[in-house]
Amino acid sequence: MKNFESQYNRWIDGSLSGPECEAFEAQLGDAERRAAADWTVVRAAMKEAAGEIRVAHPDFLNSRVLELIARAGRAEPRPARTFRLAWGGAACLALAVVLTAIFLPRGTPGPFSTTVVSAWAPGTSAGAFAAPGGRGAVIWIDAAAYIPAEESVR
Amino acid sequence: MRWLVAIVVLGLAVPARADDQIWSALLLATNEQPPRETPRALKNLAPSIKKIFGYNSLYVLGQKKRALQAGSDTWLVPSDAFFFEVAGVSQEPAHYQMWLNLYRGKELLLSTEARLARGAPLYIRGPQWGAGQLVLVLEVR
Repeated sequence: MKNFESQYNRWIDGSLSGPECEAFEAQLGDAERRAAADWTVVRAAMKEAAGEIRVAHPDFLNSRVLELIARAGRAEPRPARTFRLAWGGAACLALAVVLTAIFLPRGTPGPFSTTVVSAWAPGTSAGAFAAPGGRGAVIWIDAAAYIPAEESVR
Repeated sequence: MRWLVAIVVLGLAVPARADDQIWSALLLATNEQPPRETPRALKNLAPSIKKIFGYNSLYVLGQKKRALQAGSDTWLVPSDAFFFEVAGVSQEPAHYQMWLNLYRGKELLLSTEARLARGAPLYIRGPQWGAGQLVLVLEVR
């Protein structure tokens, strides 16, 4: 059996000599013969497909391929990379400033803002709120007395 | 993001200093056509004042500047008619805390406890005077 497999493989590879091939094929049944005939066709087609690829302008193609390889292999100059990094950093900083300006709470009292702890106006009421757009504060005396224009306030 | 905001706020803010002064002013806000030119003393404050109180013209009726010292009581007299009594001044790293009493003559108009940060004004809407609005301003400078 082992001898048959060995011969079969050699027959598939086409390495059997003429008499060996005839002796081996004489052992095969009809199914094997058909398979052998199919294999012969397939092997011929594979040999043809795996044959040498013809290129119309091989020198031009080679030069293009070499040029592409050389371009890909060339390292980017260091100053250009540094310049690009610097611009990237500056852009990020500018973005941070813009976002800060957008999201910075406005009108919300902070530690460096003027704030009113309490306000009291006799006979009326007073309210307090943060000045818009800044760090200041406003005290609003409601219904403060009206002073006629004739009276001096200076 | 919060750290970034904190850094920017701290960078922009100016802490209280030993030689700080407090500026007080009595202003008249009116609506006129055409609007009056803003007095030089109010160049920085005028946009906020106009926005808050809704007037387009400002007059400085009186102003005064005094040294601000922690632990000392003082009077701020921007005009003969309106003045502030300042008491209980304490200095914090970022602001001055104080009691303020606003008088018109002998009449107490307002009593307030406030924390005044440097360069952050306190605006007080006072009485109407004729066709205008009296506004008092305090600012640590």
